[in-house]
Amino acid sequence: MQIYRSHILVCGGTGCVSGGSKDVIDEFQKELERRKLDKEVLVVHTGCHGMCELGPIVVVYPEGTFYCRVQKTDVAELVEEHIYKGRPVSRLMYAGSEEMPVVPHYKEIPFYSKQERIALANCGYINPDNIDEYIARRGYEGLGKVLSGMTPAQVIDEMKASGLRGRGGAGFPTGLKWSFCAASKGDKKYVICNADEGDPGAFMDRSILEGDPHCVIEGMMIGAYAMGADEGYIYCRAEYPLAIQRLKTAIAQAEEYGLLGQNIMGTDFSFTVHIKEGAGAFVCGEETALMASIEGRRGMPRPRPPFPANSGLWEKPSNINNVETWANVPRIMVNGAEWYSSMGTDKSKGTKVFALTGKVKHTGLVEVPMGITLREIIFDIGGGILDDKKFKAVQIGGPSGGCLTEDHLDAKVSYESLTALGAIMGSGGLVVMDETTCMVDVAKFFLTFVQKESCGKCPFCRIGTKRMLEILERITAGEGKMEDLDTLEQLALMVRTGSLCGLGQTAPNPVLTTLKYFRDEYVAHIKDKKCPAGACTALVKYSIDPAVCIGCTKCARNCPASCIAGEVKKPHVIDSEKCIRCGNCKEVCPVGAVSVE
Amino acid sequence: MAFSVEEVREKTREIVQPWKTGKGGLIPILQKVQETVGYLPEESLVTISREMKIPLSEIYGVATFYAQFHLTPRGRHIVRVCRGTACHVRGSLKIIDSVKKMLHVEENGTTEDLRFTLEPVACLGACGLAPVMMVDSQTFGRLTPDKVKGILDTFE
Amino acid sequence: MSEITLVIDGVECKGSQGDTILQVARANDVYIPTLCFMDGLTPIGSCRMCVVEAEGSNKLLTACTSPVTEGMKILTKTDRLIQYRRQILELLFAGRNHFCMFCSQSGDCELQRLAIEHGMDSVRYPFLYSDFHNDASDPNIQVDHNRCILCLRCIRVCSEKVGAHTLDLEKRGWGTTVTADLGQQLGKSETCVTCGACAQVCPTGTITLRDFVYRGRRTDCDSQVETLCPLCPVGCKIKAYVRTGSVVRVEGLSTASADGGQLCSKGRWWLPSSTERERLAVPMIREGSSFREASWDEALSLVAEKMTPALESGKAGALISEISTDEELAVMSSFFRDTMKMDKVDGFYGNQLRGFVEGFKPFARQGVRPFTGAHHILESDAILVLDADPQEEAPVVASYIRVSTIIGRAKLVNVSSGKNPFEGITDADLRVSGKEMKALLVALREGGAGGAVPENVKGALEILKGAKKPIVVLGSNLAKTPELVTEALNLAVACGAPFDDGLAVVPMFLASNSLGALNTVTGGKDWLSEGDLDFLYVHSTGMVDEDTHSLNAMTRARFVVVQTPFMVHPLVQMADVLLPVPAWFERSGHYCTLEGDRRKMNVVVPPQGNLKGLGVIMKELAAKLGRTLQEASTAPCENVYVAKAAPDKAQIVTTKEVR
Repeated sequence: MQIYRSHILVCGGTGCVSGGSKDVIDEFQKELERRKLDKEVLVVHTGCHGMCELGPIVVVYPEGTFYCRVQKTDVAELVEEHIYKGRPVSRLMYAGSEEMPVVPHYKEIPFYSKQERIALANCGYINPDNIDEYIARRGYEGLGKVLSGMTPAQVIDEMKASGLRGRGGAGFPTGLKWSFCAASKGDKKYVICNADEGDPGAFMDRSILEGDPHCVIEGMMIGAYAMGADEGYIYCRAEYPLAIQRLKTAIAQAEEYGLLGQNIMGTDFSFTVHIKEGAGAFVCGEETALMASIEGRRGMPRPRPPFPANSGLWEKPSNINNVETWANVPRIMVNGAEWYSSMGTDKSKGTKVFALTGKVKHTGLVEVPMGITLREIIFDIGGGILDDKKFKAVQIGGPSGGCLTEDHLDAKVSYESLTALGAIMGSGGLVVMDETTCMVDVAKFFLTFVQKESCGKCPFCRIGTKRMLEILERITAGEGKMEDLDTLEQLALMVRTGSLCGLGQTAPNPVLTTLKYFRDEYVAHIKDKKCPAGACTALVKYSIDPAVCIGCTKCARNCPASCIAGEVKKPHVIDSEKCIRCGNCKEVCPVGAVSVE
Repeated sequence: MAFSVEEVREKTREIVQPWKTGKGGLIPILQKVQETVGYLPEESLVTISREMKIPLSEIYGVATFYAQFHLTPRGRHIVRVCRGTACHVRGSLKIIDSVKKMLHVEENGTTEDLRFTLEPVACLGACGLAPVMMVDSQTFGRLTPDKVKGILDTFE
Repeated sequence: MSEITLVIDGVECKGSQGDTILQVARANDVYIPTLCFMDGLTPIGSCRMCVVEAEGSNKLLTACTSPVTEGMKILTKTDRLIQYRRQILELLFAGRNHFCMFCSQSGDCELQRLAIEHGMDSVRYPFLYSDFHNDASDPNIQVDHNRCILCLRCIRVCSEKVGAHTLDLEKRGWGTTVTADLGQQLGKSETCVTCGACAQVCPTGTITLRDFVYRGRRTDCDSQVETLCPLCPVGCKIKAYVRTGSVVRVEGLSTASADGGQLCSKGRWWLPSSTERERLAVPMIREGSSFREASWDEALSLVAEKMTPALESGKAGALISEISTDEELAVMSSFFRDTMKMDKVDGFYGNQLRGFVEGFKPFARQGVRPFTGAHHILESDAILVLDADPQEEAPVVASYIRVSTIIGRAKLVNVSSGKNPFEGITDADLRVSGKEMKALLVALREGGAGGAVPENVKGALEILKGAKKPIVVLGSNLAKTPELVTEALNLAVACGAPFDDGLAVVPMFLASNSLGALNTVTGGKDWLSEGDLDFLYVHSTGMVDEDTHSLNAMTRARFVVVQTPFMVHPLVQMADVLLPVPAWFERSGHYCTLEGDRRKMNVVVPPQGNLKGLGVIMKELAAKLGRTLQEASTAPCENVYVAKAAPDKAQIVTTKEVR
């Protein structure tokens, strides 16, 4: 094996690729060759580092120097200064706080320092297209341990002891779930990986698949061994082409190494795995719908029982876990249940990956121990609110989750605590909202989404969510009545209990939590006909403060409705009758003279 | 990518072949046909039905259930504007509006010259870069309405 | 099956492992409202009307899909549940256009009934006035999607029972609709067999049959009579609805039975429309080119007068419809054969039947029943269709074949001289001429041992070899060559997997009571083609058109008596004397069906006026001829092909025996 004195890790996650990281890799390669350093320094494209906000990200080892927003044009300087002369380039380092203006090292960046990376352990460290790098970081060791010295029952006991719970949303104990499928009689069983990450605002599964595909495959194999399955499916969103490509590569390499196929590691255990691309239906994240989709049918959920553990894919006993759950499995097997269960809270063990997005300074992927507070995630890791605006709410758990307020920022994150507050862990989307976000609009946004994605099977979801959406549309258009709130709440509660599947059962959560915590905003829309956040266009009014306006005419030139009048260097006026409330004027005004109420 | 009816049938038969003995082939077949032909023409669906012994209405039901499938020809480039939560709170509505204005199409519409099809999508999973759009398989992040034109101009 | 004890609404109930809550509740007379549920169709739990509460759980369970467990305590009528059910009904009512007073199904509608039952006097949401498609493209079936509640019963019956799978869902969410084929209107569908099953199961006024609407709601009918459809040998069990003396609607009896409560397009439309057909009410005698009414006495005297000399010269014949009941066939047999000692007696389909009988003979000699109940097709994993067109011959058999192929994943091999009736679902399609058929059957039986097998035959061979439960469907056409029938049976024997009731063979008899005709009216040979007759007595049920073979014989007979309930043309024009008989809905008796059982036909509408039963007419005619009507000496169909040997004892017969 070639020994290199230095490694340049360039992030190859979707975020950084769209920022130009491929060009950066090519440029590094060229530059190193030009300087004949290519035998000494290796350029590695890795999976997601999590800090997508600052991409493309480059990390240089052994120093662990962390560079942000690296462009092709920066490469020559980096090679010249850092690699050749050993002088790190502070211009491209992370800009921290006042006491530490430049943060050179990965570990010292607040975004990373509070994280505990288990599922994401390899993301950003290894080349996901190279199985050797995975193996070098104890990959397939868990499988080896299981196959060489553990009975299936012992594996399940170990999983139970670890306290790992399903990371897809509901948080069902993984070991217990496995034990159902293991107990189910059948000559054929399937394990399935749910990679149909459809929650808007969540992308942890994609990052794991892109950054560390082998850990998911290894996790599935350990599960298959424990449950007596010999075939697996990974159901992945078609919107994740890179993840699919990396999975395919990983499967081919594992097959080549004899880690997939017949008689793995010389044992009786055999396992094959297939990738199924989703075709664009959020409801396929629901396990019975997902199986219907793998079978080639409309992805419509069916009532349970029968549970998949007894009658799942093609009516065979099946077990479905999501990507993050599977990714944790090999690490638990390597390090032991005790190690895993030492992290987290009483009932929620280990870590959870969150996709931190919205109006927060550092968006990205973070993995934190259970029990951390929302404040730590949003303010310490996320760096607080964008443009230093005021925090208003955090939406947690996607369309099935709820909106929590400032009052909940110090709540410890666990399955129980979030459910008690009316939200859910969900797959781990955390969308931060500031004072300019209208909570009625947010509820409407999620309901619009659910309405579009409803399969149409049961009346509560098909018609109920539509009726709820209508009420919200009326309210945001200024046509709501106070009794609408009661109708909305009653219907929401019925849809929650009466719907056939998880999609319908959780669809009312964004409405119910905003009604609970932000009722005054609803009332303002209805009674005062005002949107306090200034987001509902039907209810806002733009005006120009004549005292501030400098008469630059920029607003008038950018107004699509030509409703702004005024002479050069004199205050301008908006004709409210003609205004279409697009907000262009406010955006372009160089002096902030345009206000909205 | 204009194929004759006979070519479409022939290509469909080729695509169906490896799935004839296995199960669960319908969706991968439809995906492959759409990738090859650009959409799902009727003659393709009829061929799949015959070759796979799957009733026509069932194929149609699947093809109309999933957002990915299209029964009419589409543009050479697919513009997918993310409508996820993170993008929503960072102004994706304005992005989609500017694409609409620029291309003179509605959501899920195709330009007359078959150059672009505009498709809002639930979430592209690139929330860190919000607001985001994808043109074909390229992702563009941190968009503002005035960046859109420059991006679209690079696609012929 | 272990027994399970549970408590429903405070009452202790017993059920078996695997039963659903709904099944146990119904068996114990506990009412749970349902909407999407239908006996015999896969339960989907989508409408949520049957939700119940289980003590100790906050979750609502759908009774139609949830299995019972030991010690369960179920509540079906709590205030909470009633609120949920009412909410569903309100959502459904306001969601699409359910304005009962404009709907033909008002009064018959299950949605309406549930709304009344739940006291739904108002709806708290504004009506949406949906604007879905109203599909009036089919001449028989009307589909107004604005009344659809997406219970999916139509889709399920169309795929699970009819096997046409014409209907499925289009799109998703709020915009979901039921559609045909590739989004076609129903009238343009290529797969729809127009059986009307979808309308029969529709709980609302979405799918309606033009012939039935506004002729009387089910609830308004004077009577509902269970009987059978006598139009083809399947003999579907039906329920006929009668209002003011007319059959206004027929329905298959139960989706839970083997045939799935189906009716084919023949039964669905012909049966009710037949009560409106022009009847022959009194005897008529030809006068020049027209008829005049006559008394029974005059008409029968004339018949006797013409019959006597023809009997003496041996030039008298009788053609009896095999659509008649066992009892009627016995009467006709006793009159012509036993009382009048005539040998020129036959059924309309005598040739076809004799062909089958001839082909069956070697196996009948072995004591083996040479065929099985048609519904066994549903249990088979490979179906060989030999020169048959079941959609024409017995449409429900075609349904069995489609269901078995599409849902049961059975392999389908078609062998025919003409078009493949199952295009699109066939695994091997062999086109052979009549001459090549025998060689092919032998090749298939011998598994290619006899020499080189053509490439296309290999596929069929592999399918038969790999099958555990193959079945052979014999087209009526095959009966023209009895040795092909025997070879087909040989093949079935060689496959070695008979059903309990006989060889794995389903013959497509053409008439509904062909088996009943065998020992009664079917003659030993085809005398109809040989020479002219002086007298021909024709007994027609007027239900299917007579074939040209029979009509030609009639034109060659000098005096023709036609007994028929309807003024059927051209049959009626050939008659010299017309004698009225009761129509299907006025008769009772038994049919020996292709399903392997003997089914009872009941009087649906009592006969009126001057009609006489067949027994009375024949007795009076015998008297006119100076004879006494004898007791029938022949056995009814229940004694035909009674198995004396177990079907797995059947031996392959040699070609010599075939001849």
